[in-house]
Amino acid sequence: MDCHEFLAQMAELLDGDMAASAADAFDRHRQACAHCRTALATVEQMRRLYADERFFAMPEGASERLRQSLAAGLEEPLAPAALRPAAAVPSSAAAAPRRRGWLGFGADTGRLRALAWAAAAAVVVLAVGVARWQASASTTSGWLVDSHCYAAYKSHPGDHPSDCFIKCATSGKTVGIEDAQGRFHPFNARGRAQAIAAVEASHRKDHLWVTVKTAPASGPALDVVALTLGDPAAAR
Amino acid sequence: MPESGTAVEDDLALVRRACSGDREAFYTLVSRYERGLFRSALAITRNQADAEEVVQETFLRAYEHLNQFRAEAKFQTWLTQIALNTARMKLRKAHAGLWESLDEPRATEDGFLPRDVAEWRENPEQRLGRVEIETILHHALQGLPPGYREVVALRDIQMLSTQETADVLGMSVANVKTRLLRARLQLRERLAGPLGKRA
Repeated sequence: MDCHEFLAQMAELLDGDMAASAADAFDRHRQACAHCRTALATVEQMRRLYADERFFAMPEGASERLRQSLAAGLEEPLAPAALRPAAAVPSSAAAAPRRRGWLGFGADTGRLRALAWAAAAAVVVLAVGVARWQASASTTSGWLVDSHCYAAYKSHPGDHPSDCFIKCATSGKTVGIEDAQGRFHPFNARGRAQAIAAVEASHRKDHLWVTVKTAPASGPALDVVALTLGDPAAAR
Repeated sequence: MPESGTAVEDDLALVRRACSGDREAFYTLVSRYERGLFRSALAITRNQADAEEVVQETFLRAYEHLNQFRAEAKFQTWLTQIALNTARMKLRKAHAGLWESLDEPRATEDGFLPRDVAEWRENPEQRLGRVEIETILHHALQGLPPGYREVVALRDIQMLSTQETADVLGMSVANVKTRLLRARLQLRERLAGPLGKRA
C-alpha cells in the first residue's frame, strides 16, 4: 500500500467502512510511514474538534428567538379566500336600516315620502350588493410563486434557486399564490403584472409573502384587485 | 440527534401529529434538530445571525410544506436539504458574483497527499480557550471552497452519516467520500499552523 492508497483507505476507516481485507496493509503502512501516521492522527483530532458541540453552538437566547419566530409564523394556516368558509355579512350592511331615521325628517308630503322611499330602496339595494361582493371578495395571504417554481419546489424542496421567480415570471410562466396548505392559485393578468412589479421593486427576487385583495372570481384565476408585500409573521 | 430506527419512526409519528395540527409535536422536532442545523448553517454561512435566520426559515418552510414530506426519506435529511438550500440562497445574496466554483482546479487538490504533515499538540483545549479554538476552527473552514465546506458541515459538524450527506447533497456516496477526504486534508493543513507543535 502506498501513501495515496493509504489516504483513500483512511477515508474508509474514518467512516467505519474499511474492508477487513485492507486492514493489515493499512496498518503496516501506518507503522512504516511517519507522514501518513501523522496525517491520520491529525485528521482524527480535527474531526473530534469539529464534532465537539461546545464549538459552533447556538448562542444564548437563539433557541428562544427561534420559538418566538415560530410562534408567530405557525399561526393557523391561512387558507385562500375560495377555501375559507363563507364570511359573515359585514356589519356595515346590517347597519343600513338604522339610517331610516333621516327618512322621517321633514318628510310630510307624498312626493317627498316617495322620493325618500325610492332613496331608501336604492340604499338597500346598494347595501345588499356591497354585502354580497364583500362576502365573495376577500383577502388572501401566501407566498408569491410562479408555476415553474411551484412545481420545482414541490418535487425537490431542498433544491430551489433563489432568483427563479423573477426569471420565470418575466419569461411568461403563470404567477400565483401558494396558500398555507401548499396549493397554487394562479392570478389573472392584472395580478400577474402587479406581482412582477412588486418583486422588481423589492430587493428580493425570490418568493415574497404577499397579501392580495381579490374580486369575486369569474374563472379559475384569482382576480387581483390589490397586492401588497408583507411579513408572514405579521399576516395574522 | 436520533439515529436508530425507533427514533426515525418517532420522527414520522411526530410529523403526522404536526400535520394534524399538533404544534407540540412540531416543537419536539424543532428541539431535536435545531442545534445540529444551526451548527452546519453556521459553518456554511460563517455568520451567527445568518445561521439563526437559516434555522428559522428552515422550520417555517418545513412546517408550511410538512404535508409534502414523504415517509421514504428521513425527516432529518429532508429538513437539512431545506436548510442547505436556505443557507446557499443567503450566501449567494450576500456574495453575488463571488461564488467560488468547485469545478475550478485547485493546486492543492492535485493528488491527495497532504503537504504539511506537522504533528499537532495533543490536546489544544488544554492550551487554548474555547473561544480561541472556535475562532481557529471557523477561520480554517472559511478558507475552504463552498462545496468542501458543505460536506464538512454536514458530515463532521452536523454528524450526518455518509449516506445522509450524499442524500442531502444529491451526490453519490463515492463522490461524498472523495470530496470529504480532500476537504479534510485541506482543512487539516489550514489548522496545522495554529494547532501544530510549531505554533
